[in-house]
Amino acid sequence: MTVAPVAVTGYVPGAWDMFHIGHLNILLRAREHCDRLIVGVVTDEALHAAKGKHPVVPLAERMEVVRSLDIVDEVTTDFSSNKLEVWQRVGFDVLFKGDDWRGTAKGDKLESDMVTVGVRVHYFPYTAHTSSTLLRSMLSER
Amino acid sequence: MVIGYAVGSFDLLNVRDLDVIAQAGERCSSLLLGVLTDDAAEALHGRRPVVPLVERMALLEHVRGVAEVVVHDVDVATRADLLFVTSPAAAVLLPEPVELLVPRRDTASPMLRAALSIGSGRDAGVEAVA
Repeated sequence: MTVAPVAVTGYVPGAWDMFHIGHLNILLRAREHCDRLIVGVVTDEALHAAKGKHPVVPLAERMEVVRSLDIVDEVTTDFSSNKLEVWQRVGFDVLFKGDDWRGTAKGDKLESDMVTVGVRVHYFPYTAHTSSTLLRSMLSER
Repeated sequence: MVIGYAVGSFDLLNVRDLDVIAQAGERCSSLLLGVLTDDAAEALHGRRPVVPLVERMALLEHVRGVAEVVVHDVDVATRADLLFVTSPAAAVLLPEPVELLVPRRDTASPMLRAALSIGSGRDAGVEAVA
């Protein structure tokens, strides 16, 4: 009996505002750990609720930029910090998250939510935040 | 096989760039992008790109429909069948005939528009001089 290889679907949520090299590196890294990559793009509202600031680029355009990339298989809107919501819509085996979440209350909550549906949380270093903050300040200076 | 070559700075990659890349892609079977260096972009548009050359190129290499990304080089351009520019000012960088790709859409972000000097008339001024 031969066992068909199981394709791993990965999910990586983010704002992907003013898409830059830090974002690309996250997606490339995520791509290495799955066969199919779904990228979640957080809504303006959810972003404001979570970080207290509005994105520079509106949701539809952020989604379009991510969708244009050859390493991205699917793009979906991410409406909520409850990742079971998006999992029910698109389905995935592993969720990628920045390691600044590891060992925090929200990271623990994410892991316990995901384990109920058999999803693994894979952490890796996130540097996108600093790049985005830098870009934002450069733009506002102009 | 029709090879297209499009010159631009492609700074702060946004839906405007994606649209001109798509327009160029529709016209050829293989699309090369010639990316302006920070100095060349500044000389041409009077504005230094926000994002450095290597990072602009790295993103473009992963945009669907783009076969190859090079630092703008007129020798590479002359081997292409169709030449495109994304701003009127850039036409001086290529031998004739050159086609200007006019974006059919633009970013709705005021901050991005300001950073890219969209609507400032800078390009139009350069065109008038050229």
